[in-house]
Amino acid sequence: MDVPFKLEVIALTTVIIKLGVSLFPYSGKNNPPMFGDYEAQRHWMEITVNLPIQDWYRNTTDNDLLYWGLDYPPLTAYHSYLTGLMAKKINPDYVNLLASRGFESPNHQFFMRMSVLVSDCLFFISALYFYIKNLKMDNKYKWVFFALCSHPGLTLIDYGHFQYNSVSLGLALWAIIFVSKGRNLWAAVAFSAALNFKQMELYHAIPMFFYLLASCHRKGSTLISQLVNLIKIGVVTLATFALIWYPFLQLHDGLLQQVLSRVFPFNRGIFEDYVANFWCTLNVLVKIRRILEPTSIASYCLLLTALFSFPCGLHLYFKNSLRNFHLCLINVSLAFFLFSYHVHEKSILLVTLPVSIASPYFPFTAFWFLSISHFSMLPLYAKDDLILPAVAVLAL
Amino acid sequence: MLWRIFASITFGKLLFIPSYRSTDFEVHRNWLAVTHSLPLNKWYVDDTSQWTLDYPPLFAWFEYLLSWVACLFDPEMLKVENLNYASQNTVLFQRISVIFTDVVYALGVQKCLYSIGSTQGGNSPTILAFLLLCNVGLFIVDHIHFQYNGFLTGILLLSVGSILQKENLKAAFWFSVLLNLKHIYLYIAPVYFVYLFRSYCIEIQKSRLTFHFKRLIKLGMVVVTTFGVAYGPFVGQFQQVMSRLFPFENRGLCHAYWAPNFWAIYNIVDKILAVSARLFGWTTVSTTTASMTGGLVQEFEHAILPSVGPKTTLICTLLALIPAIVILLRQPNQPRVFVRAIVLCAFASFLFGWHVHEKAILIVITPLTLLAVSSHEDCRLFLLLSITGHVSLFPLLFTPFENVSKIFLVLTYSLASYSFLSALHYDPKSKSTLVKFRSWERLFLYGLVAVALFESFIHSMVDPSGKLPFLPLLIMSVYCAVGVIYVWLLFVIASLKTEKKISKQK
Repeated sequence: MDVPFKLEVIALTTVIIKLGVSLFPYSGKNNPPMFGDYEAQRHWMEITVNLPIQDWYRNTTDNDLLYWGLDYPPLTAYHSYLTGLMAKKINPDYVNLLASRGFESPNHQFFMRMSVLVSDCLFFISALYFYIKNLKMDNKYKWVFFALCSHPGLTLIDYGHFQYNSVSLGLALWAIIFVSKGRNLWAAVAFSAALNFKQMELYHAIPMFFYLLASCHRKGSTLISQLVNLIKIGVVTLATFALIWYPFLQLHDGLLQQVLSRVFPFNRGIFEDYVANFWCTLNVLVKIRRILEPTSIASYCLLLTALFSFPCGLHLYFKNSLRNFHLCLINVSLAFFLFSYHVHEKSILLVTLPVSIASPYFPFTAFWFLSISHFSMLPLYAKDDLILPAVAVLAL
Repeated sequence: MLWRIFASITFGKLLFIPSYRSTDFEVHRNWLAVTHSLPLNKWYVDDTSQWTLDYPPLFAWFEYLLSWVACLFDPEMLKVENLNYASQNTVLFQRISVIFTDVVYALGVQKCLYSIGSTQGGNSPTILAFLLLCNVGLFIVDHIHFQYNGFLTGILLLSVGSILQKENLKAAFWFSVLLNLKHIYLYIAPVYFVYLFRSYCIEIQKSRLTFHFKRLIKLGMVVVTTFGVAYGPFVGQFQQVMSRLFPFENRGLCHAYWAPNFWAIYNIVDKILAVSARLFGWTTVSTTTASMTGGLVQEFEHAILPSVGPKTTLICTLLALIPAIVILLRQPNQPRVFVRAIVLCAFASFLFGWHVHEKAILIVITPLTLLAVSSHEDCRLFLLLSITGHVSLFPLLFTPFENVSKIFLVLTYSLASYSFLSALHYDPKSKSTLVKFRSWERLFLYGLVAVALFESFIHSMVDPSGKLPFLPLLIMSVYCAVGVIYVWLLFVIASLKTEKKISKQK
């Protein structure tokens, strides 16, 4: 039975589910002094709106980096800025410098949740909708697919625990869409943007890199045109980076290094809390932290990650195809997740995205993986009293 | 399949546990407390709280049963003095009780599915299950605003389902139970009387009339026993109970928010005439604009048109009931016709009744859903009515978060019902894949969107100081009233037409 508007109905249903999750507490609610990720986001709105751009990443009297300092790349900062401006218009108390720390109110929660919803719609849901609509797939299964992709983990982290993952994942998804349509330049732009929103997108960077590289080497095209294509992509990527990093490149008094050190904090330990990750598991048997020094740990991480990623990348390079691209995305991001330094359990979301995209190839495994990854984030949910919605969404 | 849909929607309901609760939440908490802590003879007398017990005795027993489970969650809620007590466990318990009692609703739906689905075949049972179980009006009223309508509608469906399966005694039983749970269902009692009398007690075969007296006795026994069991313990305070159940002295023609019925239009016409009279100086009528006092009491003194009292509304309702009675008498023993009659009767009571709640539109929509899967015309009317009806419930939810979610909920349900029903009635010959609305109907729906947006967002943006707080409600009820009356008229015509067709065949 061919039902019209199936996709739209499902999209709307996922929005309703997300709205439902929004009703529950967020990370760090009523939990001074540090509160949680929700407070972090609010704090970033506060500092981006009130401080000049050079001070965003610097430790100043107004900007105490120990209290949720900015540790995402500049695009997140711009996003916070825009949201912060809106917040200021609605109620300046939300973003009063220093005075608004720990601010909590129902209206504020409503505002923050709506900002997630709007960002989600703009970036992620639109990408997903567009992607599925253009997929050469049996109509009957399209809506199952959509439901899979709006999977519980993302919903809970973004709407419950509170973050803006949907923006970076959405941008990455757009990049994948552009790639499958052959518009490599747009893909480069989109992916650079995704990378500049959250540095975790590096997980997807290697496959992206290899795929684009390979697509330049199409059969039958001359060396010149190949090089031209490569240069075009390179230029576009660099331009995107430059545009975003522009305000931070001007001052040479260590600003760039400061930003980078915030974004890639190697001074934190190898892992935090409980992460379903290789090092964590190994730690149960062998207390790594006591044996090795942090810097050498870091090198081991890099080695193993590279070891597991590069073969995949090379394979992609030599046997370039969309399917391989998707599979490579999964492999590499999984490798990063398992072996990287200081991985958050939320990073599993980066793996789940390509898994859901590739689910038509192996639906059962995909479903199983999504459920397990959702389950793996359970301790995180527990901290925020989010167990009930977690179960509910999973069951749905 | 039905249970899968039920499970999914149940999880959805769980998600909305922390959302806004209206005063009805406190009402039910109070009833839990009263039935649990006080002796029987005080149930209908106690007025510690302003929310006195005004449902019939069986519902009081229901609350009593619930209160024993409530003990396990939080005994504090059962103290009558604890007004507005709403601890986390209280909320959890009450919400879960609604969600749990919806199982009765699912059972009712199941019973109806057997009868309707088997004749249609194909996917119609699934679609009917979805339309009924996920009805967004019920969702909003039961799980957000807080009431127990799912449970009650379930019993109604059990009764209707029994009629559909020609189990008339069972139907009478379930309906009596229902009447003793919430007396609002008196609205549709006439249908039962006429149908059971005409179709069950009287038989006309080859122009020979047999009156089955025994059956009448059986019916009487069922009804009387049920009422007896329910009211038995309260025989001594019958007067008191009645005064609580039917508080005619205190309530006015319309609720604080006018239900979108005939009287809403009557009111607005009266207002317009009053204003014009003042502008054009027609008469020296005292320029007291019809007062719109908030709260429970709504005294309406119409300025130009004659004031309307309870007796007038009763007469109007009875007049509007005539089509229902006609089709029941002309076509006995036709369960489909019975359902049509229920819809007609519910319509009549909704449109012309005294102090009608806007939630009563759900009593019209639910039986109409049963008809929507079978005929194209009914389907169109169902869609129009459900969209209008559900939008008319918007003013029940006014907090910022619910403003957003109510739009998405109604939008999703409307779109889903539209697409599912379109697919069901897909006609390969005419190549139309979508249900077609007349052009003015489409215009109405677009206008409805505008009205809905105005009520949710635009009004608060345009008038932040709240100078005209009733304006969006007014617009909403009048606009929806037009829609409801339109569907009613079309439905009456359709019912009479099919009646004529079948009688012609004979």
